[in-house]
Formats: sequence, structure tokens, C-alpha cells
Amino acid sequence: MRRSSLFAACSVAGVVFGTLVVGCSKKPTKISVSRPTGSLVQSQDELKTDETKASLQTVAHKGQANSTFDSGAVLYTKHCATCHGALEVSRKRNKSPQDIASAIATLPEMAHLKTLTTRELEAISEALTSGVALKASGGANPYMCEVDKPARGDDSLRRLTRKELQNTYTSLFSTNVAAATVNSILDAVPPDSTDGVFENKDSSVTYSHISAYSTAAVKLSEEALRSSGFLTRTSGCSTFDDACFSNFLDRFGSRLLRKKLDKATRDSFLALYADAGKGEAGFRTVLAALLQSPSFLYKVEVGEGTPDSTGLVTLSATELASRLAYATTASPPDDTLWQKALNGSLLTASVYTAEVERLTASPQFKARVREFLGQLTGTASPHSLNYSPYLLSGLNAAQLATDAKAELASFFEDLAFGAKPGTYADFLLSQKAYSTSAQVAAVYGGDEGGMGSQTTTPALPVSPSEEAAATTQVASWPIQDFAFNKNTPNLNNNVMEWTPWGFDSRARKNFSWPGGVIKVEITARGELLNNIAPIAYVALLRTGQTNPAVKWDTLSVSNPNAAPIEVGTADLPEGDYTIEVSSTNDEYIPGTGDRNLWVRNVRLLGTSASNVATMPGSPSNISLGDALSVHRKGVMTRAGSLMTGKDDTHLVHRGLLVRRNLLCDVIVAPPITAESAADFTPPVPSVNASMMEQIRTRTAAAQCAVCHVKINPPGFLLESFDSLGRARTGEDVYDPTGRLLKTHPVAVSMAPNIESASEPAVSSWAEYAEAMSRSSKAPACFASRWVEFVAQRVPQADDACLLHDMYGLLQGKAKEGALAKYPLQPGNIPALLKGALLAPSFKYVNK
Amino acid sequence: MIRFDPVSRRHFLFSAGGLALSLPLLPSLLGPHQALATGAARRFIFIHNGHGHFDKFWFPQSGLNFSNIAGGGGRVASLGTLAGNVSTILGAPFTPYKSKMNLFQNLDYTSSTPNHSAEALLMGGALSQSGSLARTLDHVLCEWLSKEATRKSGRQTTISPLLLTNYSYVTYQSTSNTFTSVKGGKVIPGAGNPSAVFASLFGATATTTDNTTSATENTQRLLLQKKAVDHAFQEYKALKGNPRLSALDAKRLEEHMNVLSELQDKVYGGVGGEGAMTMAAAPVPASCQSPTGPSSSPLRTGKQIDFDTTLNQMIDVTALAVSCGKAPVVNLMMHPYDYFPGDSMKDLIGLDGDPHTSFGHGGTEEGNIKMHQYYAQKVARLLNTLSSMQDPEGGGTMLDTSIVMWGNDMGAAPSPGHHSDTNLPIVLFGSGAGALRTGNVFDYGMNSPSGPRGRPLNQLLVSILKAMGVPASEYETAPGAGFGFYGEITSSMESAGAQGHKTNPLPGLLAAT
Repeated sequence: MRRSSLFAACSVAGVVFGTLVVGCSKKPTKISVSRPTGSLVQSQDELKTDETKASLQTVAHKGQANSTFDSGAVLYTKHCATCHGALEVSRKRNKSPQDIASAIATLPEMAHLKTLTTRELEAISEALTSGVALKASGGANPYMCEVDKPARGDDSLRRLTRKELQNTYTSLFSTNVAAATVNSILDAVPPDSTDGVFENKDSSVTYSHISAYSTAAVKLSEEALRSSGFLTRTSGCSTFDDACFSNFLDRFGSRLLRKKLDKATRDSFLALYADAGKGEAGFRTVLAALLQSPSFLYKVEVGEGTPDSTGLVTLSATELASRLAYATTASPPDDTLWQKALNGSLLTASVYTAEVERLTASPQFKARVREFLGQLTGTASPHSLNYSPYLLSGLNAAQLATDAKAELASFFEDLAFGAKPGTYADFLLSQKAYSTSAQVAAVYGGDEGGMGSQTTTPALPVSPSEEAAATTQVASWPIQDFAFNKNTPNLNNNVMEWTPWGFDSRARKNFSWPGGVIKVEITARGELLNNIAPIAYVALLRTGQTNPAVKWDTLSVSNPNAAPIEVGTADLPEGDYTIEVSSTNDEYIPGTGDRNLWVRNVRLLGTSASNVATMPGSPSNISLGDALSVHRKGVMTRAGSLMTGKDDTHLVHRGLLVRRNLLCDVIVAPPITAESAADFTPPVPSVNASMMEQIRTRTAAAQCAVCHVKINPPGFLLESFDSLGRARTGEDVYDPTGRLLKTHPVAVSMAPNIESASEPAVSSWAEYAEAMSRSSKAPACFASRWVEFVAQRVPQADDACLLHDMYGLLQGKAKEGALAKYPLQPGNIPALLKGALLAPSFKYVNK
Repeated sequence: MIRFDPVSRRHFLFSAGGLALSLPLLPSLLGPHQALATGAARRFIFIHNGHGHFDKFWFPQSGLNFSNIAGGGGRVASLGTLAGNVSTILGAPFTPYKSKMNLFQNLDYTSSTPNHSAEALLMGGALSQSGSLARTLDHVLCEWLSKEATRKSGRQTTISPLLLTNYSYVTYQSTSNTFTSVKGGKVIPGAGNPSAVFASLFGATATTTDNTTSATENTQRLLLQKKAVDHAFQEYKALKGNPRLSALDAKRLEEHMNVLSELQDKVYGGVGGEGAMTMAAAPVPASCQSPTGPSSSPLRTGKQIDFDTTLNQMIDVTALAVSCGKAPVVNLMMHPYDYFPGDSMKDLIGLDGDPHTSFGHGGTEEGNIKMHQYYAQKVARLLNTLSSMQDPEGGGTMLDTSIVMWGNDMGAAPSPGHHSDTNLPIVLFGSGAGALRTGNVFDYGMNSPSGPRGRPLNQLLVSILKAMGVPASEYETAPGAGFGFYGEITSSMESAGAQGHKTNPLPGLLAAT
């Protein structure tokens, strides 16, 4: 298998609460702790011992009593606070592990800290860069905003992301430079790396970046100046003379650098123009320089005027225009905004508010919000699709992925821009359908008790045998060819029975049977080789049993025209079954190949209307706005969120995504030691234990469980959905050929541990999502994530007032208190989205 | 393809002499090679592909006469005694290189964790194991080269590895986020557009001119481009001095300026004395006097044939970059772990199936062979180019004075149907200007109480560092700590006989041992 999700998942097997760095080993480190107050939920799925559980809760909420569990905060206090102040007011915020290591290596007064391990340095760094701490508040605003504490401004320098750069090039040159040229230029710019959630905080600059910028500058300047009309458009004149250059510099140069040119800057470009020999060469050289300027490649915000008493500086009008434009459209200011920046009117409240309204109604802002929510939910990046055919059962993975992504986009757009403003609760709990796709309907169609749960009876051509039997056709596969091409010569398939063997594929399908006589019919075509036709077998296996309930194994399939073959009838008790059709004698014939068996169709026929087979995943209809099943609530249960691209559900990744992205838990990859290495070997599906059970065992040790007590609940609860997003009651384990070996139950009841360890257990994702919705932590995280996305940085402690406001806009009931300054009706996602742009701090830069 | 006739940096160095330049002479004008110790390898090229091999198709199956390595530590056999091709995958294209290659048996990871972790080949373990300070061999080499160049020139100089990644998907998105280069605990994706890389090394003019443009015109254009870059550099410098910038922002600008100065060096280092530059009689490869590179590259259309075109261009740009002294270290990922749209390589190897399931793990022998023979052709393409050029600094061909490492991040096993951490399929080409013995198959298999063991892969990396002349203090976190990640199997390897592996090169490999 490829790099397993479980490997990746296990790489976070020991993670952190807050800034706590822990290890991961089967040998729990002894921790002397007291049992926490409050009752703990005794769940079958949680920790093995009370001692361990007590340790976890104590570690989580009280700190630690063993150096192994020293958190970054504790380490900082122990080693750093004397010189640099308490963590909360540290003068060394945002220091990376490398920064700290470098200081230790070079500063004699820190030499004694050389004993700190890499992990300890990471933990300290984590403490210094961690976001705003929340106070447990049980639904109330968890962010503390001290009265009169000034709003925090943003940092001064942020590199344009790849997307922003693309939009900026396009905005400036699309009139005169072919799109293909821009695309070619952009292709040289390296992708932005993600920090696990968002892609827009990558500030790295490599040789590939710099050379790409330089090449782009040369190509764009040459091609633009060759284009008729460029000079006129950018300067208002048509000759490469000095006067025209002056116009060009003041108009286009200023626009390109997103600022008014001061005298020094202007003089420097005039000098460059002269140095380049003036004329067209001078224009070209200056344009190339402009496109490599820091004011072009970075969002430079140094403000104007003097800092106020709190150290904040007001952004200039052009800086504010730039910040607003990139925040809302990922593009530079458009003409309207730029004019208001140049004439200074943007600095008036009414004009600024109107511009926010205008820009947040733009298609570009819709795309921006989709990008935000897509990255937040881990659904923005495409999956490589590599599902096993037997898992797909006729679904078209590529089409499903496309349709599922479209459904999410519609969902996101409705939340942010729908007629009824979407709420955070809608984000987590909405059961509204946003797709008419047959593929998505097939995924949702198997839900119990909801849309699509009714038995479907697709129309099929009437066959003679069907008529003769006077039975009721109740279910069918879509017509599909299953070719049994096999070229592994060492298989002895003639003696194959119910042991794993090496066919590439076979036809199989799960179904539920209410009990009674069932008739099986297949439509197949066999290929004669050496005058011998393939022999097919058809077997019905009851789920969980090794031997088939019934098997027909001597069906000679010689008919070349794929006529229906009536296989037989059997009286089956009620239960879940798998029907399997394959060949028993398609041995490899050297120089010839295999006998091919194509199974076009399989029908299960009941004897009456009440005798009906139910096939999860059978296509059904879906309409926009339909209510999905009660189990399918919110964003995480959409097919687009649940599809992993592989058979594996990536259960730990699912849990990690919920905890990290949606609940803002800080997750740090654990060290792997000799003792713990075995725990990091990727688990594989097993008949002996479900993936959930395997992960539970591996993460039971205290070092791992300290975090997995949080990660596992959402991951385990989402096991009720397979890797295509279909609801399921069990995890099917297949042999390499696709034969069902075992079905493990996936039902589970766990304490969610969202805000505290005393929360009551939940037994479904829907209940977990409801618990998230009731908490203050989840919406607080959502609000913080939007601020992070807009500001391209992790919120810090002095963002607390901003976050307090944003939480209020997302969850508040009335426009009162701090919210009174916002021209927004609180309590919904659109209010949050606009609020971050209207917040006072948006107009400042922090000194 | 176009031809470009720029003024080579090195040409200018040797000719312009005392001409006034707008920038001080950059240390790499001295040639990166000269930063290296005498007798050391002059460049390092790493090429990766994944999914392991069937050992019987990778290694010679007969005809080798092993003997113990002098001083112990393993066995060695000369490839010279081998009749015919080295192996099924190392087939006819490699036969001429028998005397210039080294094949290794039983080099293992020191942990059982690496699993589709391409970076592990250059740091001994997976990134997830290695912490925030982890870096791959390419960065270690370049950081040291930068230090040496800075020391010799007296000005801050940055030399970056040339990172190339042949993305197969339409977007840059890699679904696995697995790359071969790591710095500061983060993967560094490679550039995916070889024409852009060519331009980044030889200047944008190289891809915007045609054969009708005269050398004089090109020189003039290059000069103007240099003025634009120099102006930008001064802007960064001025902004960096703005007191309103935070220390973090100032640091970002400094990093930007460092890399910008590298661009000034690589592309414009010989430009500045217009009208005074003449082609020097400097001993540089002819190909550098008029480098030919791709004027455009496929924009990842998702078509397999475009993947092939891009890979060929990457190979050619790599050869040009190293031979012209533009990049002493190259890290080329032939195929990232994002596979292909539709998961098929049929257009490339004639078989339908995906690179992972059908040909990589658990696939057919035929598919596995064809896929790796496809990649082998690309490696041979590079070898042929390098061996066709004499190193102007002496010591033989460019191949002779280089170390080319082709590796697979998973082991060679009887069947590659599982993820193997042992017997990593690695072959070196070139002696590194005589730093390495060549023409051998080294077998480092050992026995430990817990079963057969190989030597740590890290020991090969340490060997390469030594062959490049990098002092241990540049790659060890503490004296004797070795390089890279050492996992849980380390002690077992030591008990089997790999004592001293963290500091010593592989037995028998270095010429000086």
C-alpha cells in the first residue's frame, strides 16, 4: 500500500494539549498525579485503566509531574522566564526552534541550555507562538478583552502567495500579455507549502522563487512593451520619451507598487531609466525592476504618521486598499478601490464600509470564502483516486469526487452568501442537500432512516426468465463489465475454493435480505480458449461467516452473447450477505492468456413485494434542499469531506483534522523512539481487529493517549462512514483479491473531550457535532481561523479583543456592547466574514 | 530549443579581470569547485524514484567474485568480471559505466519507519522522525559550500541546491507531500518547469531570444536585466533599514537578499563591463559557451507524454547546470508520489496500470521492470551527457569528477509487494574526482543476534560528505553523532559489526581509506 494514512496518523500519535509535547510508547511513563475532580465517562473505547485516564486528564488540565511531560510553557518558565519575562509577556514571542537553538549556540549566557533536546526546543517555541488561550466558558465568549486594550495590528511584510501573484500579474498585464505567457511564468513559481491548515502563510523564499520572479519580470516587461496599447494604457502617451516615462512611473509604477511614490523612490527609478539609456530600453528596465521590487512582491505595510502611545500605526490609504483587496479578492486593488485610496476617501468610515460591502459581494470574495472553508475542512486539495473496484461497487470515483466537491462549494456558498445567513451551527449540523448528482445520491442513498434509505428498484429490461418465474425483480447492479484478466502464472485456480487467491477482480456486492426464497440470475459472457469455457461460480456469503451459505460453482459460461443465466434459488434467513461471482478455471495459458469471463449483470429476485433485497449505495434521486439522514450532519459528513481517495478511511487523519482545524488544538508530531517504533508501523486491515481497535490499542499508552483521547473520538465516530462517504455499520475486511473476510462493527460510544473530560459520551458523529456546536471552543476556533486566514498569521495574545468581537459576531444574539461598533447583525457566518474586515485593528499595523 | 549566447560568468571572470563591476566579485565566480578540498568530488547529483525493486532485476544474478574488503566490514566484487549487462534494470545503457559505478547491497534504514518517504534516502529516516532541524544531504552540502564561498570572498554568499520535481499532475498539488529535499524540518518542493529552471540559471534572456538575436544584443539585454536586479537589491536593502520593520520582517528581507545575491551571481555575475567583455580562453565546456536549453516546458497537462518531455528537459538542464558551474548540488525527483491522472503509465511503458499498484508493489514483474527501465533510461541520458564533457578543471569527464546517486527509497526484495526498509537500491556513478573507488559491488550484509542486518544508509551519506570534503562539524550535531536519523535498529547493526558507522565512511568505498 502507499504511504498509509495510518502511518501519517500514527505520526501524530503523541501530540499535545496546548503546548504539551509528549512521546508515544507502549510503555506508559509513570506519572504521579491525583485524580481530577469530576466524574469521568467510563467508555468502552477509552483508556484501559483509571490510572492512565487520571494521568491524562491531569496532564491535560493541570500540567505535569514528570519531565517527560514538561510542556513548552513549563520549560519556558524553568529556563527562559528569568531573562525574557513571563510567557504571557515574553519578549521572545514567535521564536522558532532554530532561533532558540541558534541563540543557545552563540550566546555564552545561554550555553547551559545546550542540554535541551530538539523536542524541548520545539515545545518552547510552540509555547511562544501558540495562539490565544481560551478560557472554558461553556458557550459564552471565551476570549477575554480587557477594557481599553488597543486592538492589535498586523505585521508589516507578507510575501504574495502564488495565487495572489497570479492574480496580480493578470490584473496588471492581461490586457497586453497573453494568458499563456502569464501561466508559463507562474508555472516557475514553487507551490506554497501548507502549515497543515492554510497555504497562505508560507513566507519561505528559495532560489526558485527569486529566479522565477526575475524571469517573470523580464518576460512581462519585454512582452508588454512590445504590445501595442500598453504604453498608452499605462502612461497616457505613445512615445518612449522622458515625459511619457514620468507619466508611466506615476500612474502604472505607483499602481504596480501599490503605493504613492515618494521622492526618493521616484528619483531612484528615474536614475535607473537614465542609466538604461532611456527610451524603450529604459522603460523595459524600470518595469523589470518594478516587478522585482519588495513593494510588488510583498505586501509592505509600514503605516504613516507616528505610532500612537500603544505602538500602533495607521495604515496609509494605499496600504489599506491593498490589505482590503488581497483579503477579499486575493488580488490588488481594482480601479474603484485604488481611486479611493489615491484621493484619500478610503480613510473615511463610510467610504471604507461601502468598499467592504462592495468587495464582499464580489465573485472573487465568494471564491475566497470557498478557499477558506475548503482549506479549513481539508477538502481543498484533490485526492489521487485509487479505490478498489470491489469497494466502488459501480460508483465512478472521479465523477463522485467532482460532484462531491461541487456539493461542498454550494454548501459553503449558501452558508456565506445564501438568502438566509448561515450560522456556525449550520456549518456543523446542516442536513440540507446541495447536489443533484447521481453519484452523490448513491453515496447518501444508503443512509439508514433518511433520504435514500428506501429500497430502490431500478428499471431493467425484462428478461424471459424473469417473466417465466413470475417473480419480482428487486435490485440490480448497474450494467458493468468485470473482466477477469489474470496473468499470474503460479496460481492453481482449478483447486481454488474459499481461500485467498490471486484474481485481479471479481464481481461482488453486499445486500441485506429480509428472509425467504431468493433467486439469482447472472448475465455473463465467457471466452473459449482451447474449446473450454470459463466456469463461473456464484456464492452467497453471510456477513461474518467464513463458508458460503450457498454456492453454485459449475456454471459453464460459454454463451458469447451475454444471455441471462438462471443460477438457482435458495431459502435464506434474514441477514446481511455478500454475493460474489467469479471464475474457477481461468488458468493462465502460456502464449494465449486467460479465459475471460465478463459478468454484465447480476439480479437478486424475491418472491413477493415484501421480499426485497436492500443494497446500500443503489442510485436514487436527490433534490436540492432535501433533508439528509439524521446521521449525516454538517460539513464533515459530506462526501467531499469523507472521501479519502483510497479504501482506507484515514480515521486518525479525520480525527486530527477535526481537532486541529476545527477545534484549534495544537498538534505536534511525536518523537519516535526505539521503544515506540513498532507503534508507528502502519496498521493494516485485519480479521482480528478493526482499524479502530488497532488504533485504540496503539494509542492507549499515556504518552499517546494524552492527545488521542481527543483525536480518537471524532476519528472513531466518523468510522460510520466509509472512505467514499457511504454510511456503514461495519468495517469490511477483504483479502487482496477483494473477497470479504470479516466485518467489524464500527459502533462506538466515547467521551468527546471537546472542552472538558466530563462531557457526556456520544455515540455518533451527529452527537459529536452537536456537542461541538454547543461548545464555545469550536466557534471560537472558527472565528480565529478566519482571522488567521485574512491576516496570514496565527492570532496572538494581543488579538484577544479582535477575537472577542469576532466570536460575538459569529455567535452573538444582539448588536450590543463591543458589537455595537459593527454595522452588522451578529449571529452568523457572514457577520464574521465582514466583521474581520471592519474591525478597528484591520486599519493598523503593529510596531 | 533555443541557443543562448550569454557571457558566461566564468568567462567573464577569466577575462574581465580588473574591470569595475557594479557588484563585488562574487565568490562563486571563483567556481564552486574551488571551495572544495583538493581531490574532493566537485558536484553531487541525486536522482530519485520510488517503490523499490525486485532484487533479482536490480542486482547482478551471477558472475561476481566477492572477496572480503581489506580491513573488513563487508565484501566487494568487481563489476569488471561481469559479462554482459549489470542487471535487467541496469541494462545495456549502463554497461559502458561498469567501471565508473558502485552498486550496494544491504544498505538499510536504521528504523522500520520509512514508508514512501523519499526524503529518507538523503537523511536516513523519514521527516516525521527527524524533528524540526532535519535537513537532507543536498542542503548540508550547499550550506557548507555557502560558508566556504563566503569565507573566501568576504561577503555573504548563498549557494542553493537545484531542486527539481517532475510533478505528474496538472496542478502542483502533491497528494502525499513527499519530496526528496528537507530543510529546517520542512519539505522543500522542487521546481517543476525545466525551462524556467534553465532561465533561472542562465537568465531570462535565454528563453526569450532566438537564433537571430546577436550576441551583442543579448549582452546588452543581459546588462539591462542586471541593472533591474541590482536596483531591486538596493530597494530591499533600503527597506531592511526601515526602523518600523520588526526583526522577523528584517530577517525575511535578509533571506530574500541572500538568494537575490545568488541570482546576481549565477545569472549576472559576469555582466557589468559592457563593451569590455571578451570571451576568455578559460577552460569551460563548450556547451556553456552557448548553452542550449528548453524555451518552454509542458504546463503539466496531465498527459503522460508531457511528463516524459519534462523529465528529459530536467535531465538536460541538470547536466547543463552542473557542467557550467551553476549548481554544484542537484536533487531531482523523477516522479513524486502523486502518480498520474488516471493512474496509468501506458503511454510511457506500453502497459496499462498505475505506477504504484500495478508496477510498484504487488504488481507484475513485467510492469515493475518496464517502469524502472523507463527511469533507468533517464539516468543513462544524464550519464551520457556528463561523460561526453571533459571537466575543464581536469580529472576526466564531468561524470568522473562528480558523484551521481540514483536511489530508491524502498528496499529491493524478492517481491516488492511490501514496503522494505532494507537492501536499498542505490547506485553511484562517478568517482568524485578520485575520491571514490569505482567499478564494484559492495555487499554490507551482516549477521546480528536478531537476524541479518545491513549497514546503515547513513554511512553512505557520511561517505559522500567526506568525499565532498565536508568536515564532520558541518553535519554532526555533536562530535561523533553522525548524520541524519538513527533509529531503533542502529544498535542491532552495531552489534552485527557496524561499529563506528556514524563517523567512518563505508568500508572500501573511499579511495583514501
